[in-house]
Amino acid sequence: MRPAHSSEPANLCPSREHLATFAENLLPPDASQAVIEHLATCPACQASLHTLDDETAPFLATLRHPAPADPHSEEAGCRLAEDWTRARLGDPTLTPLPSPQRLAAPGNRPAGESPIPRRLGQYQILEKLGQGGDGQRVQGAAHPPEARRGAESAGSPQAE
Amino acid sequence: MKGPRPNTGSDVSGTSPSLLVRAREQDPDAWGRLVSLYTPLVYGWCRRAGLTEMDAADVCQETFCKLVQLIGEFRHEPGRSTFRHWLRTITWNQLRSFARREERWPHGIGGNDALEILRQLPAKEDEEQEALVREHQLLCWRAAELVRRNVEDKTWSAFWRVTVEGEDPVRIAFDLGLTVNAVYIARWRVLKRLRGEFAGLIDFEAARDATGPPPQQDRPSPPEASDATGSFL
Repeated sequence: MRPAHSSEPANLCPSREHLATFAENLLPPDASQAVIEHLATCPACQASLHTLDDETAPFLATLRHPAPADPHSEEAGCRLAEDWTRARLGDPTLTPLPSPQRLAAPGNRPAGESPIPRRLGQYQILEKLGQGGDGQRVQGAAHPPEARRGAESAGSPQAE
Repeated sequence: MKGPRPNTGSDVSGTSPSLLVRAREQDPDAWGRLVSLYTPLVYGWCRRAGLTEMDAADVCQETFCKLVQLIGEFRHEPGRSTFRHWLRTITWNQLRSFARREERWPHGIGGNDALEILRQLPAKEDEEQEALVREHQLLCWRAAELVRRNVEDKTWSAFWRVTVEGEDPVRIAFDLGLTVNAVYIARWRVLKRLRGEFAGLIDFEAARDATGPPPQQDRPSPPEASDATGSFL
């Protein structure tokens, strides 16, 4: 399928300031629409817009570089933290995010539910017990840490 | 198609309240996204403070529970106080609470040394500057991933290729079966969503988090901050 260019003659190029305002998403929708229609027909403004991105959207430059190494976020404990928090806050539906390296690949969506590790350190992971609510401790996923503390304060350290 | 997703249609309109606003209104979806966005930071702070994986996960969820209570108090002041700093202060307070608990009931299995954790916290503050750039980058990547989940693959692909990769929009349009117009609408829409959803959380415009000095003064202090140093130090 060929890209369909606008059949209307190109309007006058927007000023650099106008294009920058557009790039910052600060123009109202109808004005944005007009700039978009112009951009579709004007390679010079396309190039200008790309240059303006460095000023108006520095985070795009961040995304042009590989995501920073973050070894802790790859740990099973980080997944567990997210699962616990979500359960505690009462929203167990969201799946954890994949590592940033997978982001750029189109169609590479996170696959289903996060695998909860069966064992983490000295903890045996049990099945999910239910959904957390206000004032409730984490339910499900693992022995809640307070159970550990409770056991210890009662003088029975949890075995390895 | 699953769920309500923007299409790659021909208009540009519509916006929704920011994640911060929705979280203040206790919107569960907003909280789910906040948790996805910030868990690696909070968890990483706990791990770098010396906690085991399990204890870090525990303090992490306690931190978010505290955040639920306090989020109404956060006020974003561009260039002065950032959400990241504020959340970090809350996390620090939770770490201190954790260390105090460990002093009272040391479990001694996970390798945490409460006194050591408390001693190291001020030193960890000094690492702040080095961490700023990396954490800002991490947040940008995670924010982008959250948005990608809510737009069509074609829209995301058009946005990514025209802004991040800097490809020729005519080529992108040809590859994706779109008009060049639609490529720029996709660009506009994704950027609008990124900026709108994470307003007040991530400074997309000036990357101050990444380059400027941390706002040591005037940042909002959650409760407990005044006694944060505790008696252990």
